[in-house]
Amino acid sequence: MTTAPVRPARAPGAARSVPRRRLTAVIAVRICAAAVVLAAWQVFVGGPDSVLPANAVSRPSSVAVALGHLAANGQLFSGLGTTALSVLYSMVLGALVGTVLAVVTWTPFGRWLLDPLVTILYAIPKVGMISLYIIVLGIATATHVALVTSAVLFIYYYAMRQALDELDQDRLVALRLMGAGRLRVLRSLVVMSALPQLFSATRIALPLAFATEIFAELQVPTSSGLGVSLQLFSENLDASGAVAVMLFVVLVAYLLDVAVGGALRRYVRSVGLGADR
Amino acid sequence: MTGLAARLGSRALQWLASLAVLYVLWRWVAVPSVSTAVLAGPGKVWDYLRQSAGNGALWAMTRVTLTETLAGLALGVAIGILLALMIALLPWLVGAVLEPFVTAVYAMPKFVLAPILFLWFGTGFVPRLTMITATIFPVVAIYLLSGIRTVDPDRVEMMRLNGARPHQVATKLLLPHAVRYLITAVVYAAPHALAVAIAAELLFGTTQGIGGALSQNAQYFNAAGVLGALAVGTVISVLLMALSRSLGRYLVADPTADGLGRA
Repeated sequence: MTTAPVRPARAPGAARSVPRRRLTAVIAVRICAAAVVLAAWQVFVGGPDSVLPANAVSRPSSVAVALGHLAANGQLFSGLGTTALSVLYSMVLGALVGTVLAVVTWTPFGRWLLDPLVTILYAIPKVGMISLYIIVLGIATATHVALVTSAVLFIYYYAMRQALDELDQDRLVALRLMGAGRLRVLRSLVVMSALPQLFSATRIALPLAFATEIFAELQVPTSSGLGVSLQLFSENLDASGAVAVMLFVVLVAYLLDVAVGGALRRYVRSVGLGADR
Repeated sequence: MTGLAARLGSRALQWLASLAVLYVLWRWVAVPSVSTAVLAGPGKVWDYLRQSAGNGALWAMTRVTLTETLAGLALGVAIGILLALMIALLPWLVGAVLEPFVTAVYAMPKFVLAPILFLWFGTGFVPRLTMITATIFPVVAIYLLSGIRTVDPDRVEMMRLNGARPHQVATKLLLPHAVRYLITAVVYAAPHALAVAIAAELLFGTTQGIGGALSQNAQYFNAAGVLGALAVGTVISVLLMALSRSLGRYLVADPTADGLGRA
């Protein structure tokens, strides 16, 4: 799969990277290392006789000023709003299309007929489809949504497929014997038992959607969005602005990862599943 | 032997049926519902592919993109192995600094590097290679490190007490033990490297490679060219996936075992 892999779980009983008692020391070392890097960056970049010119990576002081400026005039947050909205549309669309596709092909013949087709469609390097969407949809938000949707729908398709494969056959037979139709089975058994898979699919799909949206915005700049701001600063050779937006994007991606991971862990615990899937 | 032939035959039949569905959906549903002037049908794409195979453009774009992909993959795997071993074997101070760095690079959308890399290196081979490498090395480092951490610490201590040098601990104990984790990481990463290579070609606005063909054809609203270049990328992607998976199966019985999740 070309999706970003989920970090492997630590094996039980394996040695932890850092013993607990060293935790304070580790944090101190990390802060010191960050301070050293920032100091070196400030001193060696952009000065009168420094190694790198300021237009290469700017300097921490100018980046901080640019960051403060962008936060104050609201550009960062309106950009984040646009990007987040586009990601949300694409996630909902992708989840819908992916799960519907999996349910529709949920017969031996459907699988047989469409498996190779899905393999081909899945293998298409999704980022390249932006050129096709530019031709069909133009320079518009719809192009971003189409690209991100085509990237995430396969994650939901494969998750739903796995859920259908692992469906409790006894309950399925029981429901059918009691005269439940296909739709009824779908509502009361399939959707409920697929929730864990759909949750962990979201864990993989959301960072992918965010990264793909940033790519789409860089490649097809519309009126606002984080990627659009980044592209504008870079076109104007404004390294401080570009680095400021870049750091903000990295921060958002990190918080997203932590938040979704935490939500998934809480959910997994609440339904009593053993491991983080 | 006949069993194998029958299996291959039914598999070929399945693929033919599926491709027929693709053809029908594309030719008779997608193209008419968009517009025949905008979206190209299978025939036009086939013509484009034949033409660019004739004038050598097909081979040129394949070579450029494949070179980047494989070079980035090799460099990323090398850096990932080096980082994992440094974190595992050097004093804990080194790990305390390097691990958050690896995690941060892993979590960040690599495309945000494009403007910075453009300012530093321009549009050539180096910025594209850097972007692919930055995608691969955190995956390799994180997977390999979690493999290394399944090694019994007492065995490492034992080797050290018996006078083994760090490189001997690495090559005789840690790497052989963790090789299946490494292979899993490469199986995951190989198709990803291709996608990032094409993305980098698009972002840096080069005219080379599959990304170059995509953006040039998009500029002239030549949908047949765009779909043709996408088809080339898809074929390489399918081959990379199949190759890395069967290589993984050949080297390790089950590359996805050890609770690493689905392949």
